[in-house]
Amino acid sequence: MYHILICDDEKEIVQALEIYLKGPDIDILTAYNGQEAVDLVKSRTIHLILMDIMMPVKDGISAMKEIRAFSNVPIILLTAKSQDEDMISGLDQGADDYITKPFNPDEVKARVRSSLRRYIQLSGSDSAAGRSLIQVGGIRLDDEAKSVTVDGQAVSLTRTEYEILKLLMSQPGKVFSSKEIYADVWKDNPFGAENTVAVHIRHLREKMEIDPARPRYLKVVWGQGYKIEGNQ
Amino acid sequence: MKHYPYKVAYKAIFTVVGLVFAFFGTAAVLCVTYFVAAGFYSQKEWDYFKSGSLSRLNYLNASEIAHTYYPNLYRYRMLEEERKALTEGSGSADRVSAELDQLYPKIHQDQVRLSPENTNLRFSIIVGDSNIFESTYQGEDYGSFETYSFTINNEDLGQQETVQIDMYLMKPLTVADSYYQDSWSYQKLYDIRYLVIVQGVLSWVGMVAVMVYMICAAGHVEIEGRDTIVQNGFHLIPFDLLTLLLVGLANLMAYIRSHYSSSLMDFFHLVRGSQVFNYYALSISIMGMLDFGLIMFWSMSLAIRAKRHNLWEQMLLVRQLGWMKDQIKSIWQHLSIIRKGLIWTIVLTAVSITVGVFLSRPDLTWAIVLLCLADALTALILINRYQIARRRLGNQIHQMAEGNIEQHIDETTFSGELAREAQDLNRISDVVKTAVDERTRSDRLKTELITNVSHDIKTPLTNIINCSDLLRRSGTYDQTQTHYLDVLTEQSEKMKKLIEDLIEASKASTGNIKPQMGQIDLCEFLNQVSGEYTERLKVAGLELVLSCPDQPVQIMADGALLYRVMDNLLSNALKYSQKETRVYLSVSAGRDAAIMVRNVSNYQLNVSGEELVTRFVRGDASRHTEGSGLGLSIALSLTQLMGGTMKIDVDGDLFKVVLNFPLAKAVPAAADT
Repeated sequence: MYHILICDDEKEIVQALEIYLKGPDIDILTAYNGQEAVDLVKSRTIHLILMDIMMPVKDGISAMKEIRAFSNVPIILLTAKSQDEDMISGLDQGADDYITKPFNPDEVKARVRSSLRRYIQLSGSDSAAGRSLIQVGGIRLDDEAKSVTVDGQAVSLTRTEYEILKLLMSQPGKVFSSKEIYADVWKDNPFGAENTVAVHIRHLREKMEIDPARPRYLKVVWGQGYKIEGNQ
Repeated sequence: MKHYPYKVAYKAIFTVVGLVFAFFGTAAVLCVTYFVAAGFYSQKEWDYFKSGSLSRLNYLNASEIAHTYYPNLYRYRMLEEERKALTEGSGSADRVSAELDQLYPKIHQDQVRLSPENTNLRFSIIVGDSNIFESTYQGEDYGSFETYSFTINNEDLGQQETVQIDMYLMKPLTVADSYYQDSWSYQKLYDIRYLVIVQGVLSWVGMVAVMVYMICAAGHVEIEGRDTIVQNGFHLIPFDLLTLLLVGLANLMAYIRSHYSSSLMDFFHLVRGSQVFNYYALSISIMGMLDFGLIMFWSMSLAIRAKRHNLWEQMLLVRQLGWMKDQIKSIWQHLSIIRKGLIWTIVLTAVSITVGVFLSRPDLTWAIVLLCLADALTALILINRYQIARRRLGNQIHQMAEGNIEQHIDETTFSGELAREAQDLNRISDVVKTAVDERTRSDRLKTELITNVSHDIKTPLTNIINCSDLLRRSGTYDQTQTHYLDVLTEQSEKMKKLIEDLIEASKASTGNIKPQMGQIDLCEFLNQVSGEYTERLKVAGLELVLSCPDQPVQIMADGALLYRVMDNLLSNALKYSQKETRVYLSVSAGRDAAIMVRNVSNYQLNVSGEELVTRFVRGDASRHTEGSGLGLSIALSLTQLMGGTMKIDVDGDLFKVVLNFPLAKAVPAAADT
């Protein structure tokens, strides 16, 4: 049973989210300001928090900071603010993910699920099968079995996509240019205007990411190349 | 004088005529002076025998007789007696004879020359006490008599000797010798003594006439049928300077003339005859001509300047005085600032003058010198203090220009006008500070407005979307109801997109976005972008064509923002291109880097390129298509924010967007992030 806390000053939004996330293994708790959220986390076991930022009494960021002092529970911030700086600062301050309003209900569901899986997975034991296992964040690549899971969920990749992912995961954080990726995976010299790599990356993203337009792991560094985001 | 000689040729002719007059005029003056000195006009009858010329000639001849003829003759006679003695005494007279033979020609030459047949001169050589050594005078009647005494060194005697030469000139002059020639030429001159005067007067009159005429005519030029006064290049020289120059030239010529003439005179003394005089006269006359030329040039210049009424202002002296006057006026105006110092300076000067003048004791010179130094020092100190104050103000201005506009300067340390300037600077600083604060405040308010409004709009919007979605999931509906639900969803999505676009557009245009510039390889970038869009375009029946040059093309830009621009452009292409056509995406490098997106429009574009970029204008003026119309405007704002330009070209159905960015300096491949 997963206990999920939803915190927003708008009652309608809390209600809506409750309906979306409802499930047999989900128990929803609600709060309408930051203080209530903190109190609830202190008194109950919570597995995930969905928290709005702009709230009375105590706003989301302060509440998050307080919670982080004693708990590692995944926090997904919900907000109408969509500036990149706020996103980055929110993640810096300890949030695990970020959803902007108005949100797509399916996206919310997917992100919640993936966060839950990751939390359970990481806190659980690592059944590492030797050195052939590469793990970056929620992505697990098993080179022996040639399988990939993202947040516990298996992802089916083509051979090329697998090779590209393996290359990027070999050095998390390093930016690989299209040329480098092509040379490594196709073992050939690339032409000038080849967008093959870019297309494969796109497919990868669509398969791996909850929201391909705002990837969590597989990031584009415009004008330079691609990378797998390092440690969370 | 109504008709001036405009043509240069006429002016030249007049000038030459004037110079000729000058030549003859000078010659005439010279002759007349000489004639007066020679007494041509004072005596009724001019007598050569009483003239100075004769004396001069006599002197020359007497000197020669005494210094050359007499010693030779003396020696000759002495040797003759010696030979006679030797021959009588049966000795060898060969040596003596030889010497005699050597000496004889010289003596003989002189004897012949001085013999009565060949000259009008009779002379007597008297040595010792009235001892007549030699004489050609027979007691005839003479025209003139002169006697000269010379002291010579007689080697044969072994001592100095006084030799007296009596010179008698026969009258009339019968033989054609130098005396005759001399007399003849002087007679000639005597004959023309009045003619010369007439010539002189005429020449001078002519000179003056030409001079006057040229002065009147000076500067007159016919331009377009009208008479105007024109200056030439010489008139750039200030007049007083010109005068000094010409005076200098004249003096130089006078010096040459006097030097030349004195040496000429020496030379002429050796050459007899009146050619002498002619040469002398010639040289003087030429000088006179040149003098006239100078005078005419000078007076013409003066005339022209006077006619143009700029004689005074052209003078150097006047200009300098004028400048001095301005300086003094300026000092007077700024008296207030240096008043204190001025008083000191005056006092010190007065004291030093008093000490100098009234005491005038040499041993107090040091005191005077000290006072003068103190004077100068006071002046310097004052100037320096003023300079320092000025410089402080200047520094303050510079500081403010550099950006430290809030800094104030201490007004109390300035005096007089400078204090007011310091005050003004402080006031400017305040004004700017207020303006800057105002602007900052206004910017902040704008940002707050955007964030607040965006939050306030998005919250109800979220509710609408959620509820309509929940509604859809919560039951089954018939066709009409489903249709209504679809409309709800569609429209709320549209609103969501519009609000997002609005907020982005306003952020981009108010400069609320701070681009993080980095090195972008455009080929790589284009590959990445096309990777995002290839599939989507294919689904819409469009083909994406990429092209890139072989060399890497680097620009400085914010990758994320640049992607948003491309996203806008390509999503436009996606929405508005005609099916089964190609979308061209290319990069090129010339003077700067260019990214081009070209496609064929599905709809008729009845709007121009510039208009499309303005907000809410869409290609279809009737606004039936989707899209908020903000896309291109946002793309333009973002492009400009990164230092680039965006141009849209609409050619029938062909739609072209060109982005230009300055090329970045080539840097080796970017480091890992």
